[in-house]
Amino acid sequence: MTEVKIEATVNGVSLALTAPLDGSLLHAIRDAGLLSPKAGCEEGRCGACSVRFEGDVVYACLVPAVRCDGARIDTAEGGVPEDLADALVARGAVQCGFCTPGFVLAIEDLLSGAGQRPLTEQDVRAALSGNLCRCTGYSAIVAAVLDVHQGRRQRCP
Amino acid sequence: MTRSPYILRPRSVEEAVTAAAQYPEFALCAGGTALMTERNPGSRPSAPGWLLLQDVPELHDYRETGDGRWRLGSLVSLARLGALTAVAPGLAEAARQAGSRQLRNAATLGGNLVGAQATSDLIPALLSLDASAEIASAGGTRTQPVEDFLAGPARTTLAPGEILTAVVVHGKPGAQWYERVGAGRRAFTPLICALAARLDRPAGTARVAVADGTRLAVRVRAAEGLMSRADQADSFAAAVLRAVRPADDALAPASYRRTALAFLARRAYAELTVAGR
Repeated sequence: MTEVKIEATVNGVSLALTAPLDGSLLHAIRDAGLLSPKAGCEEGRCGACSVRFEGDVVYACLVPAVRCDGARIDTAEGGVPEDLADALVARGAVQCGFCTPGFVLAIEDLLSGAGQRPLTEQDVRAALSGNLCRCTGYSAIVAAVLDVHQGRRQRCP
Repeated sequence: MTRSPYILRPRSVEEAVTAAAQYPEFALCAGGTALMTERNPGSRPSAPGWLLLQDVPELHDYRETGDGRWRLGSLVSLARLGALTAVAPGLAEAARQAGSRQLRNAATLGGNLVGAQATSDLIPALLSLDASAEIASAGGTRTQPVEDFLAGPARTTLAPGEILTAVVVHGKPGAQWYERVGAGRRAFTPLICALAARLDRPAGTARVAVADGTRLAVRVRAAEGLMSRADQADSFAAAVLRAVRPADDALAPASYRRTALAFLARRAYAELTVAGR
């Protein structure tokens, strides 16, 4: 299989990636040592591989690596806001941890999009429906998200 | 611009159709989500190269064309399409009900249409809007109603060397309705069945399209005339069911699809005929 070289800005740093011509962004960045995006279902359902591509949260397993030359990619390695990390721990929303990096990306996307708008439990469940967790049963994750959202709204009235 | 002979990144429609004519065997890639589902584990033999459309600005645009129509670029993502509630509410609703946030951010209008899948949320909505496909090639541009552009399961009239550049719809042509059945966790469940309908009472136009999830969506002409008449819910649902021939699959038996479609048909009829009065 033909190998292709890709240069992308990953978490703000220019990174040379190598991938088979048909390879996914997921494996290209994991092969470069960034292991927070996980190879779960690899068919765009479980969300464990979620990353930001040009600012939008996507499934890295469904992004052809060849699309990423010159692109801006962000992963959980780029930083997890402290209030979110604390809330996930406080609520017991991290068990095995496999899904956590993907959830963090999806949660931040939801919270930054929501801004000061109130969020219901239903909003959170709908927004996170593209991420599977086989440990927590979701309630702890949803509660953590609502905690963070409330905290941020109170800080910025 | 291009760092590999296997990866083409045209910057304009003109460059894209030239590349498509020269390398007709390359995979045309919009968002790439469907192509990658085929290429990931258990993949089928792949194309010798990629023709990436992402750098063609015109394909990302949507705009009013002046005659009340909207030209929606083929690379408009489902996420952006979902926000077009004022232009094409039925299509926007279909886009919002498809997949998850992550999928909608990457998947495109054009990819969804060209894929011509039985589980497409957009296709029934496009059929109900009398949408047209705008297709470019080195020889020029042609326009074809979506209904004719779809040539069968996973097949369209798109010929080698041609590129789907846009989908054209009329802006706000009456009340629109879209609903799919796809279990509780939408992100994880492909469409099981769906119904799209439109009623433009002043113009006397009605459109109904149905997807049974196992065969390509079809327009239901027999149901359309019933939408402007009162107390036709039974006949309307019967006409919708006559238009489909669902199969059993791992997700749902044909009998479930038929039952669910009867509910969708009654709901669409009730909501549109009441809303239109």
